[in-house]
Amino acid sequence: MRFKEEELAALRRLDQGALFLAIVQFVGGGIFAVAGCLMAIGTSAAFAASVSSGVVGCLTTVLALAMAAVVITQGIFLIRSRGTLNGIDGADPGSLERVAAAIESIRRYFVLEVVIAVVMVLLAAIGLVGAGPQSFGPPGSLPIRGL
Amino acid sequence: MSRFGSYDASGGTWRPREGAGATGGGPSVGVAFDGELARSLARLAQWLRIAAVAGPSAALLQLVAQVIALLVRRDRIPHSGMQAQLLGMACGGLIALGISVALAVLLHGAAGSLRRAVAEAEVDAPAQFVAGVGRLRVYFLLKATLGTLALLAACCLVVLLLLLMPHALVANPFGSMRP
Repeated sequence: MRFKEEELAALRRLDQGALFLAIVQFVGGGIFAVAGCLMAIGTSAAFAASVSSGVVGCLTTVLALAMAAVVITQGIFLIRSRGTLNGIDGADPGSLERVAAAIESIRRYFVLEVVIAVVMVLLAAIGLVGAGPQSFGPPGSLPIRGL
Repeated sequence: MSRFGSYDASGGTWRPREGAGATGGGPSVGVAFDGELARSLARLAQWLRIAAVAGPSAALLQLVAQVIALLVRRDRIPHSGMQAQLLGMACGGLIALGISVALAVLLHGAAGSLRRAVAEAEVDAPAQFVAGVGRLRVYFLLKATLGTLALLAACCLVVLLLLLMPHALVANPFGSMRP
């Protein structure tokens, strides 16, 4: 005896959730990549304004592109786990190994989730550095004042 | 060997222990959570706990960093604008913190269930496995739904910014955005 029907049903439902999240991860990763490219274009203008805002722009661009890579890799791990769980059968002799492989992919997803949390803290720290008195050009030129 | 039986990795077969089984009134036997599967589940539970701590911590640090950044620049912001920004930042940060705490609670619950599923002395290991996988599924669905909403909100914001001040956004995104 290997898997009971309720365990297989739970794994199949997890499979659907992983697919939904993987699609969102790919779209989000694509948006991060586009945003990173746009930031890279704007970095030269930021350097022209001041060196510190240029450095902040460079760091933000690198982190945005890194985020894109990590988010897309997370989606790949979810798709891989889904591919392992897809069509799982309780009578399959290798079902335990397949579930173990899927769980390993999900674990890697959460390892990258921790990496993302660290990157978000770094982004916040860069924002903090960028908030210094020399970072936003002459007084009165706060970015959000235009709103 | 668990209290329900053992899994023969070489033959890929599950041997129930004598007297345990779905029939005969004994405990319900599902899968043997030992061997590679148990190790994978234990490692996953460990990383779920780490992620459950890291998410809210990052949200809290982000909120603190944003507030500090705003306070550092306070001399460049009119008093009324400062209050509005602080209020908006506090609300946004607290919502993000609340969401990450809710996700962390789900992750922590899933980690606990999976850890209990691989525990040797656990009677209802299959039920704990199903509960852990179910919580993980809810986490995935919640995160995907929130991600979809965040993507929609980001798209709306970008369209709004492009309509209001297109040249400032494209020309100098890190400097002055004043048209």
